[in-house]
Amino acid sequence: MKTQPAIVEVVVANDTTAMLEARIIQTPVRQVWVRFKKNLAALISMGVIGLLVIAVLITPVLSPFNGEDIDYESIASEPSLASGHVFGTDSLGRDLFVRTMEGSRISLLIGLVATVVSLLIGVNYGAIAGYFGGRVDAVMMRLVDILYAMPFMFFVILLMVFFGRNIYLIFFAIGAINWLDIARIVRGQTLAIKQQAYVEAAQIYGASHWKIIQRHIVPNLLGVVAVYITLTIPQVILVESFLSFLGLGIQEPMTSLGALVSDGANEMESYSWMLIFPATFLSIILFGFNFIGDGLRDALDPKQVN
Amino acid sequence: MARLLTAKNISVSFSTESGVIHAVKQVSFHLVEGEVLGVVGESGSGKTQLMHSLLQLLPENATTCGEALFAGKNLLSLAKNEINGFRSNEIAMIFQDPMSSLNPYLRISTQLTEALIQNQKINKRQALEAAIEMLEKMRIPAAATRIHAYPYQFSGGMRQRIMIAMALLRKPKLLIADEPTTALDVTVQAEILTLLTLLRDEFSLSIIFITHDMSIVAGQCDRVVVMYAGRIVEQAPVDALFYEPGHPYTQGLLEAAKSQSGLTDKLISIPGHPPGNYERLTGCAFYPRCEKRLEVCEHINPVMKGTATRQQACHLYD
Amino acid sequence: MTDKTITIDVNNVSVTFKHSGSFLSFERKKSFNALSNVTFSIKTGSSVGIVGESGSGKTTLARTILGLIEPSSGAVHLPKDVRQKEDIQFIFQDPLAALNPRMTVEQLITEPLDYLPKKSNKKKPDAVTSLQKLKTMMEQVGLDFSQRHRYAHEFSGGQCQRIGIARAMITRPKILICDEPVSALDVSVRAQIINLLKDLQQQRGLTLIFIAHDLSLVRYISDQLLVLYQGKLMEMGPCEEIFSQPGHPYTQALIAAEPKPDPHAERSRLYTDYGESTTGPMQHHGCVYAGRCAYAQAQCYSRQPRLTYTTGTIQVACFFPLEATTSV
Repeated sequence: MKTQPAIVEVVVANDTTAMLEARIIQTPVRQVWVRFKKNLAALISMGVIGLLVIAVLITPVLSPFNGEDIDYESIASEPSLASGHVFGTDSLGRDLFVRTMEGSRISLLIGLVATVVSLLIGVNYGAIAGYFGGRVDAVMMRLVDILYAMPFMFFVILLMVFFGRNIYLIFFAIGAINWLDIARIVRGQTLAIKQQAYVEAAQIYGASHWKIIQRHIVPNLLGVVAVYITLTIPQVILVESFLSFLGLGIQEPMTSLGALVSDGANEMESYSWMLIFPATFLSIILFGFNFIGDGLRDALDPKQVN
Repeated sequence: MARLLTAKNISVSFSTESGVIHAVKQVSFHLVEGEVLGVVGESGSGKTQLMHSLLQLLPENATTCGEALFAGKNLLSLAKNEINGFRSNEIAMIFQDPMSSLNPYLRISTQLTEALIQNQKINKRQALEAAIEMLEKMRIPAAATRIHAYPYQFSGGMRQRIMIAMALLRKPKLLIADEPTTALDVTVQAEILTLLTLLRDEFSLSIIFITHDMSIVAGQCDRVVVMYAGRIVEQAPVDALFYEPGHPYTQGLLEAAKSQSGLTDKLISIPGHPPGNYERLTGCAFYPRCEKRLEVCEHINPVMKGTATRQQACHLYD
Repeated sequence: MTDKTITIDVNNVSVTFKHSGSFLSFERKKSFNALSNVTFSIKTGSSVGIVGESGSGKTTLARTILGLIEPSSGAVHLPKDVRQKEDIQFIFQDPLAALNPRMTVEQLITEPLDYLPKKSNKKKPDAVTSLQKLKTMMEQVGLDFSQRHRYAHEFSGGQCQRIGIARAMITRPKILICDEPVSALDVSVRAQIINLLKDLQQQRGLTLIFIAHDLSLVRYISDQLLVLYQGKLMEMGPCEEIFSQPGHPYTQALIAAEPKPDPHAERSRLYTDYGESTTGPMQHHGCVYAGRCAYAQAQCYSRQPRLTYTTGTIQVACFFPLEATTSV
């Protein structure tokens, strides 16, 4: 779906009349953006997350320090501009700023990839269940119910124990569990969309089931899916953090915010900065995505005038 | 007879993310006690917004100006608690969709008696009796037993009767009917319209009847107001309007309505379509579609002119 | 007229909807007769009006002819060169709801062309041909070709209906079913759409099936008329003849109930109590209309009348069809 820029166009109107009018072409995406802009918290959050992403990407280029280098002179030292360690160092002497940036990078990456995995599984599953309905739907949804009942953490921990702490495994495991939520939401939306006259129209002029799902159902789901993405990313990051806290997450030398928080918590009493900085960044990311998600949800809910 | 409602220069506009919609522009009209006033218009005419503004039923992004005098008070400037007193007690409204006034989860008996008990000092039994009596006046068969049913157990026509009963329970002076029969089958519509005619006499009602259907206006109304693109374009007694329409839009609408009722050989329409919400208009809004247009019509918006009983806003009559 | 006239045959079609509750639940099965023993023929190239109020089954009938619903008994026979879902198209009552809000006008109208290859031996036209067809179609229905990049919600109701008609006609169907195509439109605009449909029908020799809930517009567009009530055919025949001399009391009620834009006529109209239509299953095994009929007698409550010819061309399902003296 292309986003077309807003164009002010003078058009000659229709039918048998000639009436000049100046109009701004309103694409569906543009309408949503206009509404989204009104939510200050969401807009600020978008800016902040955007800045964070940029910072995360340029730090390796700009910073004199490396996440792995050990600065023997400043082991566990306080943040100071003089030494160049603006966030201080951790107990091994690594620059905490760089580590925090790297941790943010990994956390965001996990958030994104795991969400995409759950999206791919969940949207297809939900759309198929909702569209075909009847027994197919009943069976598919009962399976979801059963999976819901399973203790997720236990399952992931088992995976970690058996297959080792591979980052790709973490992506997959978290994503594979999260799809249940989106499947339910997509199924509900599909049921509603299915009732629309334009879906029936497509059936009448001979569209196959798959074409209908692809062209008519999924594009009209995107709103709900967008909200889901922004609200799942923080969820996933939190899950990964929890795993790291348990010692089951990312393996060294890679680090995530969760791992940093875990380490920092251990040193909390004497070297407080080791906890404060990663924790703050984690909080910013979680808040940010939640506000964006809320803003999107409101922006996508058209309040009709008239 | 005395004037029950006098509206002066009412304007309603909505601020939306795509711009400002001027739904009603400087509308003035009045209602005499005991008469039925028809408000006719198509999409974009503003008739519904105008009526909703009288009872302050518009959404939050609406701005209303002007004056609507009823019983000595300006309805548009009343505070929330004051306007609540007017709603249902003095002025009642019925809508196209009966389910908008009926709670699907409550029995009809509950909903009707609640409305009565709220303001008056009567007990439940008296309220129930009054409600049953009202349903009988609506010609609902076996009212005493059926009153305990739920809304979904009634047909569309029946629900409309129940909604009218609810509206009339507190004996209002004015009933505003917003397209009450549009969603009904034609045979059911005939019954409801006849019912309204009977009730009008029995309850000494004054009625404002909003509709897009000229045929209903012909049978129900004493006087008619024709709206187009947020303004009134013609006001006249019903016979004068139908047999000697003044404004070209009224003429076109009548021709279209007559042809659709089989009174002409060909099907007639007005070319083009009513203006959309965001179109900026200079001059007369009907100019693009008007067969009798003059050059002045493109630039200058005509004002209402005429006699005490009938007026139209058209340069042909300047 | 030879016996080889090609027709669409609806043979004793009944459609019963079973409310079966959801799978894995224990609800009892209830059923509802949407259509009962409906039989008629439509000559190809003709224009037929199907009139019925809510609950008449007219929408179910349309969907059965389209092939979206399988009849519970009986069958719909189409002419040999007409395939269901291919050569039959549909116009919806709500013009805007029938258009995907995320597609441009161009995408909306040309979409049916994408599904051609699967259905028949026709090839999917290439981009240039598609655009050509789009242009021709838009001009024919009265839309501005330069507006093809806009979205449906930017158009008026009448224009949306034109988009729907363009979309339906772009694959050159042989049969067009219109479900109350102008009910949702402004009065001043309805005739434009009706006249457009008429023109298209005459130009292309379409078989036009026009569904309406009252009689007002039908006479301008249809030659034949079918009147449905609660799933049964009440009256059938040439439109003009039925209008001048309705045979069935229900048809007469429909004609009489319609208001006219004439104050003198309206004020002197007699009120007839039609009685409320029953919503539940019938209590007796007689004529479905008996409960509301002004002329019902004992016989009407015990047996169901069959469609019989009252004149050479009109068929009425009534034991006591109206004669010239009693019609309005």
